[in-house]
Amino acid sequence: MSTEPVHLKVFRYDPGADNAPRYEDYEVPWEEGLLLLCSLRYVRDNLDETLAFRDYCCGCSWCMSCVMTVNGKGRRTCSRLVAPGEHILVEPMRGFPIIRDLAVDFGVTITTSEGTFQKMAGCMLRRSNAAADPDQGSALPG
Amino acid sequence: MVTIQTDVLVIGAGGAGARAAIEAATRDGKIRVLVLNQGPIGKSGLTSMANGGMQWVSHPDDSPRHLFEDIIRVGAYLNEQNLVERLTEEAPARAAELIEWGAKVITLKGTGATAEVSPSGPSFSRAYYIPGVTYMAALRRRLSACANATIMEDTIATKLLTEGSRVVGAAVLNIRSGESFAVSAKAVVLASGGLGEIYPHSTNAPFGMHGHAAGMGYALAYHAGAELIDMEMVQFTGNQLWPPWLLGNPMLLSAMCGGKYVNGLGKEFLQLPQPRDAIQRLAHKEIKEGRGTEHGGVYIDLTRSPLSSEQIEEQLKHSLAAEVAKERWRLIKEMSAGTPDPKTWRIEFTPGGAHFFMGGVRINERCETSLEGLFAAGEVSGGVHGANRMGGCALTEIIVFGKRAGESAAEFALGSDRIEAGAFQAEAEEERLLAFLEGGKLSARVVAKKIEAVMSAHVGVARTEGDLAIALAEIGQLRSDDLSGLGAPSGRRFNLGWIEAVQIPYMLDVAQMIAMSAIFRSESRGAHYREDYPDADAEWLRHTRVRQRDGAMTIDTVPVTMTAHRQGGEA
Repeated sequence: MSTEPVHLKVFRYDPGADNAPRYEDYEVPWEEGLLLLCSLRYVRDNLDETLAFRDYCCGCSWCMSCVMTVNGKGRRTCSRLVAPGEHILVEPMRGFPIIRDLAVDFGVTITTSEGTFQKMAGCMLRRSNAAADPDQGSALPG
Repeated sequence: MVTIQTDVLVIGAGGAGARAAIEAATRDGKIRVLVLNQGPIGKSGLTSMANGGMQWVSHPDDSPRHLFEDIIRVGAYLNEQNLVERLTEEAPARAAELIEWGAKVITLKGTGATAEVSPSGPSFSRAYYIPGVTYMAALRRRLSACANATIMEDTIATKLLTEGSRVVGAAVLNIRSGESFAVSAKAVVLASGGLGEIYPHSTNAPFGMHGHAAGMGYALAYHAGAELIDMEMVQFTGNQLWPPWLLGNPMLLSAMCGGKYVNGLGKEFLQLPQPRDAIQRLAHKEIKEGRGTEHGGVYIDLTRSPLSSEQIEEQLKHSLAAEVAKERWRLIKEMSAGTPDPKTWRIEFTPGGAHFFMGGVRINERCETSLEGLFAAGEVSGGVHGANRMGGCALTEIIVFGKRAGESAAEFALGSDRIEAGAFQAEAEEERLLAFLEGGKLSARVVAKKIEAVMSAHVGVARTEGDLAIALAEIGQLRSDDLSGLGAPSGRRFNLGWIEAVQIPYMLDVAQMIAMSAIFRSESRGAHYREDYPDADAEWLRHTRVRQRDGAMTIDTVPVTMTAHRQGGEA
């Protein structure tokens, strides 16, 4: 059986520091049962510690914390098996503001109905709202 | 630095924290509640990954007293009995609320939890099943509807702010922006969950990913001056070695699918029913004495199950929550393409997968801790489960005591004045956090792996004084050698390496608490098994208690609260 490494092309963008998104290539050793989410963890632990993604896993293929755009389609990366030698394009889940790299803001982040709080927490409230903050509102190209 | 004022601050929005926040916010509708959570609610933390087993009394022949007896027997009589009384009495009402808020109960045919209760005495089929994700979805919906509750996701509290012995708020890091802020609160509810991630294998970290269970909450409470009890009580479960494609809690494969526990020589080495801790010890013994399998574990052998392939498949779908997660079942079928018939499976596992933590912050029935203004609920608190948790009781615990904590915190907030923490506390904390970005070359993953290795090698299923002393020495060594070199990649925004680095000193604190408590308790009870003291000792029917005094970690004991009866301390 082939045990060719896996080739990941990964969307990278830090809206606070980068002018534009870019793509990075990583080569991850394949092993039986390798999941896409775990291969991203491999990248962060071994190849590039700056890669940002939601690395939580509920283990039940249910919570959707790890959804990303995989080869152009929304997928739970925790239940996406990786084949030996496969080339995979990994981008943030479409339709959500990008926080950094593959980590997105799922939306119901900060709710408030309380005036004083809103004023004091202004910096964070603004960041939760893509429309009001170009810094956060970068949609995935394409 | 920005300071946010609130009445009640809730740290952690798993089941306990979310329930506490709902209670505080709806108490009189005027109390302002601020809820912090390390990730998006319901897409993070341990409640979301709970399989769903949940115990409460509903059968007419059953009673809270029966459930009470089951819990304290499984807990080896180390439970705070007043807490167990509240748990068993209030569980039906709390469950009914949860269902009213939209959680759906799934009926299971036979459950691991029920099987586990049965070793002796009467038991009832009372393990209901509400998968963690749907459980959290119901709480999240209810919490989002509370107008005076503010939710801040992707935030972690890194320090409790104190004035004297009163907790008055927290220093918080916004993970998204990397900015720090302070929270000034009249009352603080700590509901930050467990600590499975200080062990290399844990059901709290599926596929080796993160579960937000690095145990920070225990350390936050400790540094603020709170008392913690029974920190040696770690519940372990099986850790699957082979094959790589069937994941979940392997011990459920036996309880639910009739798999036999078989050693590397092909001999069945235990018969069910057995409590979780006994299975762990017996499996450990087989491996240690050279009767392990090819990959160094023991088998759960489904080829010897009395059930048919179809029946096993049916049960597997349940045990892996596939009833509610078709994607999971699809994956298992895809991964097991060569051997789709479960009747051919022999699952290899080792004991020592950290599953749940019985010890924690000492609370009373009102969820008050030893510190004024600080309340605790859920896994971070100690005393409910004694020396061993019965299956299905955690999802019950978190809503019963979550509600109690929210209620107590709200009452406290209504009756007390705000005390502002000295600004220097949060500012000093921010400086401490930022120092990691300027820090050394040593990455948090490297140090975390070392901590995990120490815990696995010396503070696992079977413990001895010699091993535990080595653990304490190695933890001390890591503290002196590695902390100064610890660093994180640059860039503040969503910097996970930084978050991990921030957790490392706290993981060392918690590791030390566990090892210190384990060496102190010179008996075996429940999940705490000492090879050099293999029997329970009635003199030891006491809680170990850890707290900080004059800057040092100290340990002593406190009595167990007994409301019903005192047993002889038989485990």
